[in-house]
This record gives sequence, C-alpha cells and structure tokens, in this order.
Amino acid sequence: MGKFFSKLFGNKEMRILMLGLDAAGKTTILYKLKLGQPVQTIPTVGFNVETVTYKNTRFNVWDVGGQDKIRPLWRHYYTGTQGLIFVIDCADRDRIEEARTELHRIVNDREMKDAVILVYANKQDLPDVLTPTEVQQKLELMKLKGRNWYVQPSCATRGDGLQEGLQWLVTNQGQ
Amino acid sequence: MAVVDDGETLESLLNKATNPLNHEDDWEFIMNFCDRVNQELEGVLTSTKLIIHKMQSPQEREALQALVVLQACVKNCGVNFQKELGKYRFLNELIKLVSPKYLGTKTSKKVQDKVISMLFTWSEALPDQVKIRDAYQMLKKQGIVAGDPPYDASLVMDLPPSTEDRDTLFTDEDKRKQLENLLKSTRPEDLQAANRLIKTVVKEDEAKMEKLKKRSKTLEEVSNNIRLLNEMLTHFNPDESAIADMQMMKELYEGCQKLRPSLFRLASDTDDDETALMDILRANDDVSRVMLSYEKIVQPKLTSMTDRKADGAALPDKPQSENAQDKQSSLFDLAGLSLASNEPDKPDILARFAGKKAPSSDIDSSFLLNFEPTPVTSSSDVNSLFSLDSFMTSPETQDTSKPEIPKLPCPPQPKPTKSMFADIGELSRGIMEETLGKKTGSSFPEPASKPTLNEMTQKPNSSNLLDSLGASPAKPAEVAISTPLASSALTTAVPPSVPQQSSNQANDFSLNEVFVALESIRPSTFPPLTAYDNNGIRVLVHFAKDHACPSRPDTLVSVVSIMSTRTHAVENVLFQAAAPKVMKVKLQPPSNTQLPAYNPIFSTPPLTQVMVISNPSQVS
Repeated sequence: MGKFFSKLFGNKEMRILMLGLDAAGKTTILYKLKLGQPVQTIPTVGFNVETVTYKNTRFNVWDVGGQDKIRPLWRHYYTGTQGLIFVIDCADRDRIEEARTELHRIVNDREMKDAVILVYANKQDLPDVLTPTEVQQKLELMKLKGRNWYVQPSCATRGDGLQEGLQWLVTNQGQ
Repeated sequence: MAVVDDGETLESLLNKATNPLNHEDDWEFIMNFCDRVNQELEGVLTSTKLIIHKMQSPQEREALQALVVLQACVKNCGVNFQKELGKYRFLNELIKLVSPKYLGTKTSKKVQDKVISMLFTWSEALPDQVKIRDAYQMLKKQGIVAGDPPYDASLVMDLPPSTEDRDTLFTDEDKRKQLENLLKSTRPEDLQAANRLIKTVVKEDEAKMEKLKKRSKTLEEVSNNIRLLNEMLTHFNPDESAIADMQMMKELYEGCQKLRPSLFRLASDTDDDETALMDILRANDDVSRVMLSYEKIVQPKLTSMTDRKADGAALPDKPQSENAQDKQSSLFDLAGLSLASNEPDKPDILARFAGKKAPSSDIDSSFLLNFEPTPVTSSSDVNSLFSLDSFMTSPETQDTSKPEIPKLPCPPQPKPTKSMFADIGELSRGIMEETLGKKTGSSFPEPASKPTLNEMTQKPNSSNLLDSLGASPAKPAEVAISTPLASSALTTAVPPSVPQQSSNQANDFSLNEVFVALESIRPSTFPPLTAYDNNGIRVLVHFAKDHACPSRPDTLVSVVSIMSTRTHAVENVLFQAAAPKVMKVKLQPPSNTQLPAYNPIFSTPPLTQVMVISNPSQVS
C-alpha cells in the first residue's frame, strides 16, 4: 500500500553510501542535511545512518567511518547501494592520492558497479584548496569508463553545495 | 582441479601457451600452466624464470602471449606469485623490456605499452607489493613513461579480493559473519548492535596496538641500552677510562637490570606472536650478555676503586649470618631457649620477654604449682618459663605467632587414649622437673608431641580448658587464668627427651637428623639459580627433584656448586646461607674448601655442598 502511494505521489527511495578518508566531513554533511545545522562531530567508529528527504526522494544515507583501520569494513555496506557519495577534504592535498586509491577500489567492486558516483569536493571555505577540476583530475575520474560521476564543490559547515549534490543524485538516479 | 600427469612440464606448457603460431590466446594451456605453478613445490620460482625468458623474446607474438600468461598467474597463483612479481629480480626484467638501456630499443611498442600498463595497474591494485609502485615511479622519473596509461580494469577484475586480507580487525570469521548479518538487517536495534560490535572490535584492536607499541618501545629502549653499553665496553680501558665513563656504564648497566623484568613481563604477555617472542628472548639474551661483560670488565675495576681493601678472592659477606638468626629467633627457637634457660648465657633474651609478661608472678607460681605438687624452689626459672607463656599469649604477638608455629613431626603417641589436656599436666611437670633439675620420681611421659599450636588455637575455649584441667589432680579452679595457648605452646615446643641441649642444637634440631647423600640427589628440571657471580667466582644453586629427603616432605634439597675462573687458587671457601625465620637451613659439609686456579684446558670439578632447607609452614 505504502509503495502504491509512493508511486502515486512519485516518492522515491535511494540507498546512499557515503565514504571517504577520515576527517573529510562525512558526518558533518549527514547531520547538516538531516538537521539543517552544523554539529560538532567526533571521528566515527562504526557508522551513522539517517533518512534525509529531499524533494520527493527519501535518501537512506549511510555514513561510515573512514579511519584507515576500519576502511576494510566498507565493503560490508556495498550491497544494494544506488549512490556513492565520496567526500574529499580539499585542504588535504597530501592524501588525495590515497583517496583516489580508495575510490577506485570501491567503484571497481562488483557490488558497486551500478552505483552513481557523487564526489563532494568539501571544505571549499578553506584557503588554497583543491578546485573541483583538480579533484576530478587527481581522482582520475575520467578513467571510470561507463560510470556516472559528478564533482560537487561543498562546504558542509555552511551547507553550501549539499542540496545541489542531492539534486544531481535525484536527476541521475537509475540512469 | 586435479591435473593428470600427462608428461607436461611447466616449460612444455608455457611453450604451447606462448606458441607464436597460436592465432589467439590458448586459455586451456594458460590455465594448465597456472594449475601446474600452484601444484609444484618450486612452481612460482620456476614459472617466473620461464616467463621472463618468453616475454623477452624478440618474437612479438610470443612475448605478448607470455605477458598474458603472466597476468593469468597473477590472478590465479595466489599471493606467493604476487610476492615474486613484487621483487626487483622480476620487476627488473619487466623494466628491461621498456628501458632503452636494455631491450627498450628492440622491443615492439605493443609489448612495451602492455608492460607499462601492467606495471601501472598492478602498482595500484597490489598496494602490498610496494616495489611495483617504486618501479613504475622510477620509469616515470626517467621519462620512459610519459603519462599514466589507462587503468586496465581487466587486469584487476578477478584478483583475489585483497580487501579480505586488509581486514585486520575482523579476523575472527564468526564476528565477521555476525557483522555482515547485522548490517543486512533493517531493524534499528540490529544496526545498533552492529555499531557496538565494530566499536568493541576496534577498541580491542587499539588495546592490542597499545601493547605492540609498548613492546616495541621496550625493545627499542633495551637495544639502545645494549648498543651504548657495548660500545663503551669495547672502548673501555681499565687504566685510562674516566670515572665518569664508568659511572655512565654503571647507569646503563642498572638500566639494563631494570629493563629485564619488563622483558619478562613482555614475554609472558606475548603468547600469540612467535616472532615477537623471539625478538623479546633475543633482546633478553643480548641484555644478559652485555651485563655479563660489564660485570667482567668494569665492575671489578669499579669496586676496587670504591673499596681499595676489597679482595676479589673473598666471598662477600652474606647479609645474615646464622648468628644473627639466633638473635632474632622465632617463637619456635624461643621455646628451645626457655628449655635451656638454666644456661647462664641466655638470660638477656629471657629477660626481654619477661618484660612483656602481663600476669603477676603469684599467679604464675600458682599455675605451676597447680600441676606440680613439689614446691618450686628457683623462682627465676619459674619466671623464665612463664615469661615464655606470657609472650606467647600477649596480644601483640599472638596474631603473628599463629602461622609461624611449625608443625613438628609426630613421634609415636604413647598414650593415645588420654585427652590432650590431661597430658599437659604430666608433660609440664616433666618439663619442670627437667628444667629445674629436680627429680620428683613421678612417671614421666614419653616425648609426646601433641597437637600443634595452630590446632590448639582453634579451640581456645575457657570452659573447655576448665574441664580439661579438671582432669588433672589437685587444682583450684581459679588457677585456670593461664590460657591454653601457653600450656600448649610448651607441649609442642619442647621435646622432653632433649631437654638439656644447648641452645644452638635446640635451634636447628628440626634438621640435625637430616642427611642427604649427594649421590642420592636427582636434579630437577628447575633451572639453577645463580646465587653469586662476581670476580670469577660463581655460586650456583641446583635444586633437587621433589622430596629428595623422603622422610621430611617439608624440606627442599639443593646442591650448591661453587666454581672459580680466577687465575689464583682460592682457599678456605666458606659458603653460608641464611633463611627467613620460619625456615631452617642446614649446610652439609662441603666437598672441598679449596678452589684451584682456573685452568681452561684441565678444568677441575666445582666445589659442591648439599643444602637442606626446611619450610614447615610452607611460606613461599
């Protein structure tokens, strides 16, 4: 019945997996989207999962801790993921290579082959950060043949660019 | 897959798989080759050599097919093959193909592109093989690779999932399964449980890491200490080195001494990691070695500087001589002393305890009279006897005295039917007679070693006492002020058969009948204890197998062996041992009292001496 109404009113659900290196801003993004205000976060050990409604779509967002040690657990969340949000700390130039390796590892996984890829080029409020174009190059997104990806500049604390990212997901979902 | 032994070898299979006449890659031979690599003992090594030969073939088709075989092996021949791939001896051969210094000029572009693409992709996909990345970066630096080739996902597609290996957290299969199931669930409580599970596992892992960190810190500290001390020892010159240097060495030595317990603790903590354990044990060996050489090289010098009189040949004074032990004798000894109280040389001790006595001497006498119809003549003797009683019962000593009262071996009980308190009367009378030098002519009970004080103290019930006292003849009830502790102490402590023994004999009577023949002692598995190791004299204590003295299960038998590596003979060797109050030590005569000069070619046997320790109250 619920599904019927959902279809009737055009409501959609989308499972989103949000990954990225530690301290990229994943949890801040999640709660800024959920609560509309910035929260103080601590490094996530484990995960947070929240439902965020944007327009007609209910995003089931999984924000998984990005510390080196718990990255191997990411794959446990792959199943059923329709969209990957990969968050980059654009002020952390030193670890962009590391981020690239992780991103390619994720998207090359069989379980993630159908997921669309949204990259938040986060922390754009800080000086001398990687531009979205730089991020796209450093992450070697062009090498992802046949994949749907997009780099969205953002500032999680202020909320800049977050809605736009969701909008891209809504538009490109299932294509 | 069971491969039939069809007479094919790795070489013949590879020849077929890379045959230039093949129109397309022959996967049957390629896969057979991979299977064979997995099967053979030296498969990985042999196959890489063969592949190197083929991929460097001037025949382009053959080389390309060899590279396909290589890809297949990386995917199908496990980590061992990947490790071999990640070694310079293999990577160098790949580099040769593209480097103009080697085969780069002769190799076709197709092969070169393929090699570069493979190197790049593997450098990304096999992060454990860091040298692949190094090799690739080097090619980039030398300008041989201009820009990164496309990431060839086909090379990575079927790689054994390295994420499995990366997961150092969930190594426990059950927990991993549990987490997977919890995460698949949609129920919030399952998700919470999953979160909790991850947090617990991470916490455990952090604790483990902390332990590792501590371990490596200790090991580093140890190795620094060893290195520094070793360095100073090699440059040490006894005549020239400054005192400050020696002091520094002493500090380092002491540092080593302090670190050893940490190493022991680490070793006992490390039960799951064999290599770490080996590291710890090695560090311990190194510490021992450097400490030993310090002791040999520097310590004698240092001690002779601080104490000019010190003669290296003399054994150091043991902290406690047996004399000292006499002075602070235990309750048990005191009982023996009081026995011999008519000896004039011991009044000081008795007087000391007499000062503690609480009851008046009137009561003392009446108590004694109670059991003894004969009038007491020497009041000082009565006092001395009673002083012991009051000492035994005085509240400040009672607590400590209880566990210290040793259990005596019980000689056959002559009158087992008699109640124990009934015996006391007769027994104490006997003691009185002996100590006072009086013969009353009454029947004298045989040595009746009775229940120990420990047993007695379990029923210090005064009504009991009255009853039992009532069994003995002629006693006014009010006399029973004396506590059972006092009277029982007498009965236990005093074997009436040896009443006139000197105090020294009484003191160690518990062991003076024990003799253990050296030949009868079998060594235990317990490692010998180094009691002294200095100035070329070494004293080891070897422990005998349990109960080398079967008649006395409370004893520990050990053999003291004294060795000398000194260049001069040592004469009049005397080994002394001291034990806590609650124990007794007996040293049997040594095999010799001289240690000849050390002769490395014709070494003399060590001096041996049997040492018997009795520990009746089993104090550890």
